[in-house]
Amino acid sequence: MNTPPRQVCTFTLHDRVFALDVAGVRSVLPWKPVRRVPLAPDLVEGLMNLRGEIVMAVDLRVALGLPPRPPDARPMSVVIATESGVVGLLVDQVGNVEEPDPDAWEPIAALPVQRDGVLIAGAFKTPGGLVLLLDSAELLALCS
Amino acid sequence: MVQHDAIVKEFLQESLESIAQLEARILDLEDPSAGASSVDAIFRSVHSIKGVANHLEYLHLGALAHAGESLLSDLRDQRRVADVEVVDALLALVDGLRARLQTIAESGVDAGQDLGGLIHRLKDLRVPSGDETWAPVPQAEGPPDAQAPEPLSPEDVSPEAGEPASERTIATRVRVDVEVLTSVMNLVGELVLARNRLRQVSLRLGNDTMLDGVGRLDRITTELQDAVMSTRMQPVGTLWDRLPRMVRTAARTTGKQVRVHLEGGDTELDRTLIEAITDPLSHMVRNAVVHGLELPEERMRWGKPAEGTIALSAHHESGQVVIELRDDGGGLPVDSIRRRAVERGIWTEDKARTASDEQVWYLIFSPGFSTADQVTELAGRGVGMDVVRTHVEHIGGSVDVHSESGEGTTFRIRIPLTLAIISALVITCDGERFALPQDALKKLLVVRRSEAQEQLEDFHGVQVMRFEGGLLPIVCLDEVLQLDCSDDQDEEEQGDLFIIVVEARGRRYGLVADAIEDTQEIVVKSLDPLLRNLGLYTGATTLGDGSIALILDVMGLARAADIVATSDAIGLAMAAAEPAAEVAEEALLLTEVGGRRIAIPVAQIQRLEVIPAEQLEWGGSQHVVQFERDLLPMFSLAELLGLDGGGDWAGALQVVIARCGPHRVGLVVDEILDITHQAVDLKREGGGAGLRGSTVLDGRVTDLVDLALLLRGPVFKADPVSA
Repeated sequence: MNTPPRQVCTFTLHDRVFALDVAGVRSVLPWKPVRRVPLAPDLVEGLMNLRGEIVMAVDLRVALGLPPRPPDARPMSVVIATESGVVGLLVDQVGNVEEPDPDAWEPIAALPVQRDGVLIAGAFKTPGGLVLLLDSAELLALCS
Repeated sequence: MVQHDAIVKEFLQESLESIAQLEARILDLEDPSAGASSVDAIFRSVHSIKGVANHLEYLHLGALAHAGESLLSDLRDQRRVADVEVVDALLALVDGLRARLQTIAESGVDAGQDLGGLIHRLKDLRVPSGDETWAPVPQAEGPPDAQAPEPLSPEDVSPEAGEPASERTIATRVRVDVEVLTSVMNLVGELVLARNRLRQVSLRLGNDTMLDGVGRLDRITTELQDAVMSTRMQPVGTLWDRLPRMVRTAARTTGKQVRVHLEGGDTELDRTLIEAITDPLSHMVRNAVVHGLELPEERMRWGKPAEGTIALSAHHESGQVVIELRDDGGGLPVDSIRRRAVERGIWTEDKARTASDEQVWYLIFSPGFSTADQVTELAGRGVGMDVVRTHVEHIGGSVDVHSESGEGTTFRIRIPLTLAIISALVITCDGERFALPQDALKKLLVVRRSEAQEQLEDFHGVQVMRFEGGLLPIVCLDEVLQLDCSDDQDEEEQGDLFIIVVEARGRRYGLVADAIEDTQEIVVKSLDPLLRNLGLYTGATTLGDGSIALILDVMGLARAADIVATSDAIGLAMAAAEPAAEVAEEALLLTEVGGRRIAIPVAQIQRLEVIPAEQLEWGGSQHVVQFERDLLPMFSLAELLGLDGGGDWAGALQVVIARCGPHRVGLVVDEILDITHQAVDLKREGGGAGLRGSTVLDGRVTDLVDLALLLRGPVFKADPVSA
């Protein structure tokens, strides 16, 4: 991680808290119906209609190798956008926009989650526990 | 990316555009008939680049332009002849300018490759004269300093100075960012969808005032759509510009003499399509030089001029753009293709012997098939025409080939005018909706589920069905896409199965769906690579109710269902088998015309429209209407069938837009009644011009029209109108 982001958007997945740099987040949406795409990779939940724009919905639980969401769950989505594209990330619950204390950032080598190391750009301590920062660019690279 | 002042940005853009046209003009210099106008034009472009470059203190760039300009002035004053050496140097000048401009665009700095060598090369070609006024060449990487190339005269600063008035008519044009156009296009797409939805609702409500309003909205939307589309159009000529030089290089490397003939460069095409077609077309043109044309000696032996011709033309044809590439070489080597097909295991000896020449031609589109005996650096790397075909088909186009031994080869590429909005049939399978591009659609058949098993046969493990005297491979959409079949058994046994006969790369198959909704204009949205690479969908679209439908890739489905090989095997087996007559159900549009019931096969219909009579124009001896950038010939179906009534051409006309071969026509009917699915059992065959016969549908005698037959005469006559 170069410089830690000033503001992050937090969300939960399987009771763990994750975060994304707000700079890469375009919008946060409540549950929307997703049009599934037959024979698509597991990662892809389907397509969403965001006011006429068709955006691919990616299940972050699958991307991070977490257990699947219960079938009746209604995931929210965090829409991230970079120059290479727009993707909707399905998350269990969106949290807040937070400004982590610059001193709260942990060195990346000490992270407990090794196998998802590629996607994780950093981590910071909060009273509630360690929050993992995901890398938008890496997430999008996963989708191309 | 470096921030530029608007003026720098404009300079870079204009300069890059103007040098894009230089290559063709430079090549013209080699043609003595082209005259001096090319030299003048080249001189002006280079001169204005020099002027502004110096003004903006891009001194290396300015020095290069100056060296070029000096050589050009020798040419202009006829002190020097444009020989091969000069032309080569001028082409190098274009490359040098382009590279420098691009470097400036990317880094904002006038630096990069040393231009000294090129400048000296240009200088050395000049006619030595007494008053040598060479500007000192700045050190390539050194900072621009007091040794500026030459004092700027006021004339140099203004790019317009010294140009004829005809080049200054720019005031009516506005430069628009492509991004802005794309977003306007997207909004119009949304409007089309909103219109579709409103139309659905208003038809259900049936309120006249509302229908009127919606009708008006409908027309405005269509016009707006056309207008916006036209902003995305670019002349194919932008593509032509780069070809002559490529031909020249290829001709030189292979020792051939080639004349390039370009036509129809002002034919317009969606810019994204121009981009998509650039590489395949370049490849084909190179192929034509390297493989198509013979060496000069050989041509002389055949009594042909030593110089071969490569002709490229473009024109509009029924909502498509046709690009034709013709060479007057030896034609495709049919015998050696046959031999190679056997060697590569693509065909059996038997097949190679019995196949028609036409089948042989199409082999060149097979993967890994290269006809050249010798692999050269220019073409023939074994990734030739199959890649071309894949590219063209990816944008919804097709490639045809025709060859005459000793006379040459003609390739014909057909591409849609635009990709953004297409006409598609919406179908349902296991509760999910899909869109099927209308272009691929050949016929709609309806089969009772209970009878489906009897109609379907097994052919080497693939389900086939008898159809029009042949066997049609059947692909079940739910199987190939592995959709859930949660329906219980009872439901499976009832209702109808819809078999949509589609065609991909000349192979037909039947696609089975649960239901057919209707034909709509859909706005094509591209998919992320992850989904695109599945090869099953060409895009997605939002429907009137806001739901998303995937657009099916007809060829991709055939590949996924593994029926491509089967379809070829059937072709062989059928050659021997006897034709079978089976009556399958067909989707028919019922209309009322002159008091009679007339049924038209839905597969021949493109869409239904209401067109106010005021929009009719009189072209030649024919009613026409402007429709989607085409002139659509209009006919009264009553008149064509020799019936009374109809044909008063007043009020809101109910029009069936039909396709008849490559043509589109509008047929005016009194009333559009319904779409029905019927096994047509003709009670009486024939019965007048253009009728397949009569039958009883829903208790009423109905005449079944054969549009191909009916329109053969009139469309031929009307052709000059659409030309």
